[in-house]
Amino acid sequence: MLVTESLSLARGARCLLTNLSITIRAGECWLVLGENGCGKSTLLATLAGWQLPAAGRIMLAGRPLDQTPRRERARQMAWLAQQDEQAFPQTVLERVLTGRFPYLARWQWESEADVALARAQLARLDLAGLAGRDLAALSGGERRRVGLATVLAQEAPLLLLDEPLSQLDVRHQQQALQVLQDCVAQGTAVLMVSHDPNHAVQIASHVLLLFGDGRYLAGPVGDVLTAAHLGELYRHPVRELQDGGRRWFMPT
Amino acid sequence: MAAERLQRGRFGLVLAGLLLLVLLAILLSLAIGSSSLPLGEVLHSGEAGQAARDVIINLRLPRTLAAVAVGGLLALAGCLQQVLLRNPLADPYILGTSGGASVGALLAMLLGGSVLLVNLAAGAGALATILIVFWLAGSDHSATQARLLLTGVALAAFCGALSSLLLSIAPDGLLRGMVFWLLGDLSGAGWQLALIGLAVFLVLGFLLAPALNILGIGLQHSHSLGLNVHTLRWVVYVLAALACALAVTTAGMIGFVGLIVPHALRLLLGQDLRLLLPASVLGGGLVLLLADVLARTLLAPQQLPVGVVMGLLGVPVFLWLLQQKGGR
Repeated sequence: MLVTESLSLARGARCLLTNLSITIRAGECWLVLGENGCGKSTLLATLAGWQLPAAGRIMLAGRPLDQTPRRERARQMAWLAQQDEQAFPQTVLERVLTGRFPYLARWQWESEADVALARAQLARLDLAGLAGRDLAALSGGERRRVGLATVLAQEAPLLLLDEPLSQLDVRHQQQALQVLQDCVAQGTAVLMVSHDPNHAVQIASHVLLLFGDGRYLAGPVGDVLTAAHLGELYRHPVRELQDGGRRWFMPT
Repeated sequence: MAAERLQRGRFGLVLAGLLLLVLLAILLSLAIGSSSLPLGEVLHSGEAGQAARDVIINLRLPRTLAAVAVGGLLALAGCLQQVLLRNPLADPYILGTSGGASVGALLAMLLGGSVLLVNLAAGAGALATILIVFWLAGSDHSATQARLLLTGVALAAFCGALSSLLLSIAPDGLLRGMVFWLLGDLSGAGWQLALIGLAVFLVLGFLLAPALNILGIGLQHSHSLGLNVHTLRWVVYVLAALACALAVTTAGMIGFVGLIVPHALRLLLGQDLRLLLPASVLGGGLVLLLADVLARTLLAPQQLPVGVVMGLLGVPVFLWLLQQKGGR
């Protein structure tokens, strides 16, 4: 789906990431972990084509990203940015319907099928009852779920999600994780930023650790996600616990 | 409270209703004036009928059409500007286009230019500010794209200072005409170019409406959905600025239409620009036409500048609407 070739990111004079070369395939779920300001969001914005990399190349579905037509790109890849913006009042359903934009002809009304698809995404995330509500009247966590529903309505085979689970309560976090797990099981590729390594244990096939000084560590969850690596990543000791055959990571 | 999702049926109904109101207002405007002429007299043969036709066709019709066109242009420009700056309180004058037009017009008046020259100078001034904004802010590729707003606002302030300078050095004999131009005045305004321009800009804006709906949400979201954010923003800027320039060149600086009409319609009809853009054009034309009828008749035979009437009556209505909506 997505290949990075010697990708380097910088912010001002500071080098965030050097020579990142990874391949994200269909049905893989990558979790990006790292400290605040280590370049997680910058990486996602770059992969989404919003920012240019300092060096290197990004290939989307076998074609250089900067040579992929925009509409085509929007059908291949959906990006949930960290901040959701909203200048004008808009209902939840209207927002989720915007996810269908890459599929509509220049001046075409959304079809009943589009509306049904949007409503289905809302229902998956426990938002069906809020479809007619104004976004401004929602809580932060609810708005985050609306953002996720919008990205799902885009039906792209690759999802770039910047902290989709932040601000969500326990039940809705687990529900959203289950929805993402279903997507991955159906062959969607996911690259997702999180601050909780336990999310990785739950759904990720791969993790990408960004150290913020150019170094990175990427690979299958089993190899890369260890207490030692996390301790180094967060510059704070992390312990691994076993419970019912599952691994848990806790700060000490 | 957001309005329900826009459906095709409501779209046609609202626009047909507004169009009907505009047509009724046009009839009203043709029938009412400083000399009262029953509309029926136009149909009479003979001298009385001929005189009535002269007044209506040569005096009232051009002014009526100019009011509709200018109101529509200002509301269209305001609506686009609000999307561009993602601020429901932006008005078409905020980015300096009209300031450039006033500097040009006042300068031409000061130099004793004819009406045609004043209009040309206003147009040139507006175009000059558009080019300067583009030149200074066009290379902004930052994520926030804040340079456009700051550049425009700074340029507007500069043009304001230049206009004040021109007013302060103008001889008393010219001052009245200059102030009237600044207040906005439809007497003697040409309607042909304004109406053609309005039609062209409306079609372009209408074609862009679905993309503009997305752009109004946010830049990153627009990018993710496949829009060319940078190019689209400049297309919208140029469209809004040209509509504003044409309106100001035609009838001077008429205030409030461009801010209030799109905003009030937003409250009544919702945010969908597929409906809001054409509805704003019709609403702007309607409101300015009614304001002009009042400007011609309130203190007849004296005529008030339409911009003053617009502000005096439009603002209280708008504030009332805001209260009604906010209270729910």
